[in-house]
Amino acid sequence: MAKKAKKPAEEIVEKDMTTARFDKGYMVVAILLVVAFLVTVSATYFRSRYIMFYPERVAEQYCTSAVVGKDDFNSLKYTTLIQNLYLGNYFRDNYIKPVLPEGESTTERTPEELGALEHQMSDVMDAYYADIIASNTDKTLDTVLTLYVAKYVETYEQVFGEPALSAVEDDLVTCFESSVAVYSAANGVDAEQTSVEVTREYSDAETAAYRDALSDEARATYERFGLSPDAVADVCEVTYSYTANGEAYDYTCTLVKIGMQWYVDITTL
Amino acid sequence: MKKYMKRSEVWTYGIGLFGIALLTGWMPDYSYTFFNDFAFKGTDIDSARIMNILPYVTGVAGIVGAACELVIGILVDRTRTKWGKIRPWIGFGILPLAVVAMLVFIAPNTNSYLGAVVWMFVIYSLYTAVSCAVESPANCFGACCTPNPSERSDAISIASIFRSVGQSGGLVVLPVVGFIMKAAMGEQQFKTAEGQGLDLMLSTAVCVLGLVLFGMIFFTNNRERVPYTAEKVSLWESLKFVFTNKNLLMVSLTKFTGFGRGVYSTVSIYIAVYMLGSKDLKLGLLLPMGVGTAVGMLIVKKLLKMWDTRKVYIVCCLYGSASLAILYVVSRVIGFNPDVLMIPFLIINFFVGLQHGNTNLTPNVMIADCVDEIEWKTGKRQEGLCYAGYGFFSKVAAALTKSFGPALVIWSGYVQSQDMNIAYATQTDDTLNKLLLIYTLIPAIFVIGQMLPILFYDLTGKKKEKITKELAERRALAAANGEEA
Repeated sequence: MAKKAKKPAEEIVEKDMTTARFDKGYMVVAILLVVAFLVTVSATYFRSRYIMFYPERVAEQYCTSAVVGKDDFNSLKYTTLIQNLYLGNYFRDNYIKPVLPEGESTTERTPEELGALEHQMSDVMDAYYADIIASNTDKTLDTVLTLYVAKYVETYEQVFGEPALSAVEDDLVTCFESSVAVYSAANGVDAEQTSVEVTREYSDAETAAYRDALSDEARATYERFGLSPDAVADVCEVTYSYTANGEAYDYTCTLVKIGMQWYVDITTL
Repeated sequence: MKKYMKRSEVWTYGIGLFGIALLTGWMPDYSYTFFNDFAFKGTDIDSARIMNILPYVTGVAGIVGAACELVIGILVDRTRTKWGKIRPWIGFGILPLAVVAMLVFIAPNTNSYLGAVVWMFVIYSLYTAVSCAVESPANCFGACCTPNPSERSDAISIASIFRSVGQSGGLVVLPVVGFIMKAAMGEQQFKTAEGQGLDLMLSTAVCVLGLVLFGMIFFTNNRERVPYTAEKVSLWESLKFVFTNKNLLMVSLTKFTGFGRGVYSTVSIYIAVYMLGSKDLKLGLLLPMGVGTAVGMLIVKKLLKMWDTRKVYIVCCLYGSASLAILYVVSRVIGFNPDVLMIPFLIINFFVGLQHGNTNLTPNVMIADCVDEIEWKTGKRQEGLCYAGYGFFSKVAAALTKSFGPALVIWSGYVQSQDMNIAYATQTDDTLNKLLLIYTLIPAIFVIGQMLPILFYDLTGKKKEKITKELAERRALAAANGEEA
């Protein structure tokens, strides 16, 4: 028996799908709505999360790193030094590159051999970093970095049996970061009950006075880091409190506002 | 045969898929790192516990995604509006997708572990469901953009190339956003923002904007041109059409039989380190392969004009398998010496990438043909469910690949470095050989595997011509009846 022929289904054709005018209007409205949504949500979230907009959060990060963690180098990331400079580049450009001659080692080494030599370097340099911090009572950045790089170059020649050339720049930075981390782990404070509070907000007149009262040395420091005292729009003091071994401590730092962001004023450290 | 699409429509279809792929390609990897590294940074929540729960978050979202493929497919086929059956899903689905995708990168300010976990499960599963409601219909739009199979094949080819490029768009968006942020904020300040995942959040906003702009261009300019049946099809009937249609089943099965071809990506970092000499060369491996994929799609587009889809698929699989085998043999002959091996390896790797043009493009053309065949046999058009069925198989296969890759790395005897100063430990020659096998011969076997079901695919030549002709006659008759009425 022949199969019964299927009845063609009812169809909707293109002419019934003419929605062009609505589509264009909808497109404009949809794009505007989404742009408004994205701008609002992104700006709100960015503002609420980005720590440099809040003096107490900047001070907290600085103190957690410098005061509690004993990591003086990385704490600089929250100071006026970095307003125009990248800390890593500052270290490389001013302290490493002038010391290391161009070139790279031609000695073939397996990863294991390289690892063993780098271990020796780390052992010497970690101990040396701790010595610098202990003996450098002023803890000036310039002194610490200059001494460390000089010692690295000297030790490299002893351990590797060849001079340190520009190709080891990254290794030097890695070694320095490792030394800082080792020192921090050994000397950091086990802080409890931490709190942070803005303890003084400067008025406009007080801010102007703060700018005017900057010493020649402070102005020279500002200039060195590409800053102008006139850029300081606001000043405040934040107190970081914590307890360690049952004793309470307070640390107050001065922060300045440049543009929309707050920084610990490096001239006050 | 008459052409139906405006020239601009072919391009705006591609632009639309580019916009959607820009977001859906961005989300999986970067949402994972956002949850893992940044969302709850600085809170009291233990980051190790977050990391442990993340596989479950992505696992549940994967199940939701696979289920949604089928549900959305069925709903698309039941959609009857003046905008068509597919376009409204894209045009009106883009807005909720934009909102939900953005909210994935807006972490709640909480110290509660339970709250964080609930938020991750809910927001990521919701994103997976909503993205499925836009992406799945967008993928099947090609089947109804024109009744002309040749024109349809061209449109799908071009759109697939755009989609392929869009999927990697995030690789460009992230550094561009980073560059702008550095210029606006300062380099060290950018590092601070980056440390809080804010660059990821802003990059997501850019991808969302791309989705809406490009998606809306598509929505406004493109039309569905294949008439669809107005009668409703039951769920059982729908599933029966899809899973009992031999040709559609064969195309979908390629995903299963070829699931292991993607394991190469698991070991690409090790290939870069041990065969090429630097982990930075992972980009050198993947970028030429990406370019090779785009070039491959252009070649496949040309081949589809000369040969039928079955022949193109089989030839490309044989080519892919052979190129992987050549890569293995050349690497073994040269030896694992990065200085000598790097250049020939990267060159052959580019030619290996050409095969991906086939797997990204030809199945989409085949499914569109299957949609026609089902309509020809049953009188009912099922674009939504046909593409959803293929998408479902793809998602299950992707899950298998994700498990298979790490298992193969264990099989290779790979040894992790225990030394703080050494990132990657020295491996034995046997392990290096096995890593090379995972990158070359094992995928080559699966490339042959994905070819096997297509040997039984017969929607080609005279059969395809007959279907196209008879469908055109039926539609003309139905249109004439409609005008008379």
